Amino acid sequence: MTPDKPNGFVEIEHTADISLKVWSTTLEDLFKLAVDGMNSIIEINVDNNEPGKYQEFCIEDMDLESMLVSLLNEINYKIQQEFICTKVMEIIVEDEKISGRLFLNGITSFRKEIKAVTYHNLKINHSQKGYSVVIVFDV
Amino acid sequence: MVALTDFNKVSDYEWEIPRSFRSDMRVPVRIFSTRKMLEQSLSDLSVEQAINATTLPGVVGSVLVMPDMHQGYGFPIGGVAATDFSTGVISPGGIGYDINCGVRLLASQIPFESIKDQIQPLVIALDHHCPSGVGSEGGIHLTLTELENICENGSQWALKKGYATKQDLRRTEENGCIPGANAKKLSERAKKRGLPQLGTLGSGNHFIEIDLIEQVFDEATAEIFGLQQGNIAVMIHCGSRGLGHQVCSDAVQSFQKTIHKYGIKIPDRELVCAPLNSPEGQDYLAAMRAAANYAFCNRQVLAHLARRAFEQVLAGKVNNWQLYQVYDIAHNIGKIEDHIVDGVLRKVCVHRKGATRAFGPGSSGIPEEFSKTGQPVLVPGSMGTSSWVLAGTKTSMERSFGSSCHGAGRVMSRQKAKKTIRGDQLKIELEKKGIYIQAGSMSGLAEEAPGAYKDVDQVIEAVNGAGIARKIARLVPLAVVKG
Repeated sequence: MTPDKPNGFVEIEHTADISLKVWSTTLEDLFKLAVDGMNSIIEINVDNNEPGKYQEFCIEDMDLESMLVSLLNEINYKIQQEFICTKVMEIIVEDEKISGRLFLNGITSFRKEIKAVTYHNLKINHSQKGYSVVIVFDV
Repeated sequence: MVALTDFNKVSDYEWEIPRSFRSDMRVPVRIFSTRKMLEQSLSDLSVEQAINATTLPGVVGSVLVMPDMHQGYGFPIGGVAATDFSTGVISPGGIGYDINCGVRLLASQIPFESIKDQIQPLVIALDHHCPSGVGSEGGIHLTLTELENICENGSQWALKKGYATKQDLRRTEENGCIPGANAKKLSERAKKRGLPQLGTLGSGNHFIEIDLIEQVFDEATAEIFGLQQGNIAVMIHCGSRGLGHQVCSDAVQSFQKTIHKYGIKIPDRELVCAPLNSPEGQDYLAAMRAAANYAFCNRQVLAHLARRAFEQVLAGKVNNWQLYQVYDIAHNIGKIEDHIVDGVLRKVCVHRKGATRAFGPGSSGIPEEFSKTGQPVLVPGSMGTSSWVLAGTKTSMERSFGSSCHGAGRVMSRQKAKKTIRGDQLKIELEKKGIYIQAGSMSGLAEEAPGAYKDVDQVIEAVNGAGIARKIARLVPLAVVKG
């Protein structure tokens, strides 16, 4: 957690891959910001001539960390395979289910290829100030 | 944190963390390194990651780490761990997302002096013929049946299509096809990602490089490998692209659940694994081999495209412009091999994560022409420094499960490299040194700057000193295509 901002993400040092620290006062915003952070690493140029569209989503898995990895891998797949940028508009987080609404936009280009979202030392931490997580991406 | 005082010195080039260091360690960690490089490695998490890898069920001997080590995710880069075939596990994170990322070296009979003025046209032609960069797609459009054929037959598919020679296949690890691959074990997503990407380089640290063979250290072995001082060579570094990434992601995700079924405890979820003899372990092994075969074929098609580039520029100008294969090796792979462990011959699954197979003289599974020399070990440096050709040794069979280093190894984060180095400035500086660069992205180039890597020559001194590989030839770059 950083004292100056209640929510945010920042890239932190990793010798070979990319480490992203995400923090937020709510679990819902933590998931949203993790997606924004990954999109920021990838450096996506969105196609502004396209109106975009909304899509419902639902992911069920054994714990919060697994659902976070699933969500990020899903969005990374859409970028690489379908050339679509995704933003999480609404999200409900339950113990073994996340669901909500995504906004999908076409993209004209992206700069960085993320091979995968890893589980390396992945733990969503909860304190009085809120939630935080460090995600390592293989690039 | 691990300190230098926690290590037992085995020799000037080998260091051990005993099993007693942490209660969950099943075997020791052994690091091949100089003292200086080992001290540098303590600044990141690579040693802790190696210690974590020793907790895998069925791990045998020691977890080994090469001098080009650096922090990865789960396993360290440069890590080698062997697990017992009957009682051990297979860990997808111990192989990596870029399954069968590897290196191919093509040699020539072209003296550098005769084509000095053709290097720039050559690198432009290579860049034109070999698709590279983020999201790159190839000119070969595969049907689903062809993709499945490639995944099960590897470079054999390329041979039938006229993209390979018989010598190419003979001089590829596993002859370019690991048996036991099963395309039916790939997810639909993995196949979808593989369809458009055959014959593409990708991005990140992948490259195609034109090299000069600057110095030969063992004339007789170099001759057998096809290397002659003063001649041109081409090095290709890439892997299984999106197909391989998906295979690993699928397995890491599904193993998170199944690991509990087998009662396995691990200190880091990225080390997730399944027993080799379980249905989940066997399914991953078959899918991983399919991805590895795709990677062999990918580098084979890129070699074919590189040959076309050479033909376009040099045919009619130079005699013997052809490129012929020295070897092709994997450095992110899991292989079932026989090794002597504590005096007993055992069948093991050798996880090599950023480590190269380095089989010595007389080993089975290497081409007959290398039976007296040991297999070629290909070690790319960074864009502005040397690359090396080494040979596997008897010692590598005894001490490192027939493995050696795979590159220079990163020492600076991409973030820091981008902050301290400007890509356009780097390109100018390299060109002043006579190294031409074709790069899709200047910030991507900055991330891969030579200063972001260890000194590859020191890495080579360490593996040579430890005896797990021996020096054959040093190559210097003349031109680089970066993804």
